[in-house]
Amino acid sequence: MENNTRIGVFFCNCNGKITEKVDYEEITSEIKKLPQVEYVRDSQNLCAHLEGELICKEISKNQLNRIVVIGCAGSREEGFFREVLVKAGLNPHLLSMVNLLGECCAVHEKNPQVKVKSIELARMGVARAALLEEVKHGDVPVNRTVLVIGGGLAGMETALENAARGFKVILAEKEDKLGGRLARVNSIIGVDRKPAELLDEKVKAVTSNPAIEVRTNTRLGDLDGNIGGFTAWLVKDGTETPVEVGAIVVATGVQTIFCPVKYGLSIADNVIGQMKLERLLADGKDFNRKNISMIIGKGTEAFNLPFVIAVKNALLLRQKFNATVNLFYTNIKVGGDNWEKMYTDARAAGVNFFKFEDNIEIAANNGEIIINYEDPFLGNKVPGTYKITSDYIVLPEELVPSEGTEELAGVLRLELGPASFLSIDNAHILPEMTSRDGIYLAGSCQMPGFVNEIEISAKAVAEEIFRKLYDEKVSVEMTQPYVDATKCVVCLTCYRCCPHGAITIEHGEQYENLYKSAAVMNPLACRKCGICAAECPGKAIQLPDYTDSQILAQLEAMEVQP
Amino acid sequence: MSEFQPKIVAFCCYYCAYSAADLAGSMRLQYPPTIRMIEQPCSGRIDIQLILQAFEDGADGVYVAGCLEGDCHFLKGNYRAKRRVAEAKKILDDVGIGGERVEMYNLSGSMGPRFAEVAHEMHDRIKGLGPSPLNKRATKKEVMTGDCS
Repeated sequence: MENNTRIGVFFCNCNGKITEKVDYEEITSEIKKLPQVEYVRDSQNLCAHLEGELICKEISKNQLNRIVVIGCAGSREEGFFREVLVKAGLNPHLLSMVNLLGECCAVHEKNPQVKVKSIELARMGVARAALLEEVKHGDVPVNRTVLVIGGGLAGMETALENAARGFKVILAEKEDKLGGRLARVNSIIGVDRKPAELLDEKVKAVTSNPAIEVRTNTRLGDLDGNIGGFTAWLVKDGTETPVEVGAIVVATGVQTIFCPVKYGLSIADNVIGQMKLERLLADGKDFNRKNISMIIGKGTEAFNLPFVIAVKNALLLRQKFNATVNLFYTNIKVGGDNWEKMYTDARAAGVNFFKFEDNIEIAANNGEIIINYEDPFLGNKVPGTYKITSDYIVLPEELVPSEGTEELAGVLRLELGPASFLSIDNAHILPEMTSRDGIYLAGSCQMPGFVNEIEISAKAVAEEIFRKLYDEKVSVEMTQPYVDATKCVVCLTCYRCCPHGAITIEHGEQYENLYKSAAVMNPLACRKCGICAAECPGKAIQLPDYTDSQILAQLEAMEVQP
Repeated sequence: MSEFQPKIVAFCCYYCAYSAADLAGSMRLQYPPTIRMIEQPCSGRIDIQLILQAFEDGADGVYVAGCLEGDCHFLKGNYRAKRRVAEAKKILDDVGIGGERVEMYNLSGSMGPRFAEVAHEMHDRIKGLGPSPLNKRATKKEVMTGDCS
């Protein structure tokens, strides 16, 4: 193959944008001197539709097997030229793009140095092309079972969405029954249904679905493998049972911590948290004409959930029980669907909003709550503290990841994000994805969220899983790095440094080294960053399209005598 | 002898720095034609060997441009690149080429103007330092002038 490398160079004028700065003739005369270049042609506009067919013809006529396109950026036109290569019967990875427009012509004035640079860039492109390798497609057998961790609303919704797409689902819940936190609230923001009703419906749908297997009192003990072939050890009553799954969805949610000490109070019947208030309301406790104070602030401002819950409950107490509701706040964050309206409604209904800035004193006294505070707005005109007496005080709870999230993250090999919640992959990619393909987040385990967002989140997760595991065998382009087993000493450097957990150590006689084992990159989980290739101390790993030899050839070709 | 024109290799990550370079191109921002870009999938792909090889092949300066810290497409590739560049600096200092000839920059995809600025900065720095001891073109000329005198 190496001996009959025939490189075709196609030069694009980009409608004169390139030739106004550099000279085509000079570049081609230089390029034609290179040993493997068989064909050079220029064109006014290479990405035009008809040019594609022309390139196809020229490839077969001249038996070219490497193509260099000198023109614009790979990110812009690479797709088009790769298609052309496929039409011509070549592997799409045998293409080298030289961005002469963006790197040279657009950014420099015409001068002799630009001429040198343009020739060098062209030579670098040709040098890279000579060493390009074919990248084949491969069929990877995958397991089409999804493990959902957490049997709350998000978990159940995800299980149902996945089952609807033809997956088998194992739903693992650490408690003895499904439902999660939804069972404990009185009303749902943005959903006009009773939580108990909604919950019953979902539990029925999940338990009656033959594709969903519910395992209660179960948690994830250990995990091996990668997308399409995970082995998860589920722990129930101290015994571990392995299950083979293709993808994992984490829907472990949040938990609340009630901490009245932060406000100088101790737990009492009239010192309650928002969750407790929800519980009392759901149980039908009478708040008729009571005087209720609520507080938002003091470190609970990281998420907007506490604000919206407080405003929702304030409005409900005011409308249903005609109670006097005083809402003390440092800030109000109600950005979102209809929440701003809920806030203005609460004001219109007569909920009293008081702003405070740290200068608030709360005291519980014989079943009465006495609040002394200074108003930052009125303070300038009418100085002094104001005193408000209430029957109840409702404090916001801390929102923290549910118990065991840290251990779970360790098992899943994920990193924790802000406030110890599981962190999504960076914002460029889907918000439900984690740094490891095959592990997804649904619901509140990444950030306290709202019930009306859960359905969207569950659908997104299910679609993403379906996109990856669409059949028993999925076809993938084998662009993952490959390992030269003779150089691999199983030092585990790549295994540790892979940000996507895509590397496993395989053992077998086919690996020709002392240890009969080597690192193997999973084509489905690998995202082709090349970090392993750079970290490998033995230089055993090469990333296709960016191999060491290609880059070194590019560097070598840079040398041009002026 | 004409003025010394350095040769600088820029290893750019595809997602941020190369996008910034492309943006600089679209914006027609001018920078010195001494920069040769080599596109990489991630700045974490660049290892010390490549940096040193660039010097061996006659580069007067090398810089690695990756995403902003904490913004890497592959989580921590740019931190790895930063560490390797620091290591390369040490090696270059030890062998007498000079660690200041190599640098790490962080750019986001929308920072076209900053890319041009970085190119200027690096060009000026290397120009001040003069040709690299391994730069055959420059040394050859020096030898020739040495012979003549």
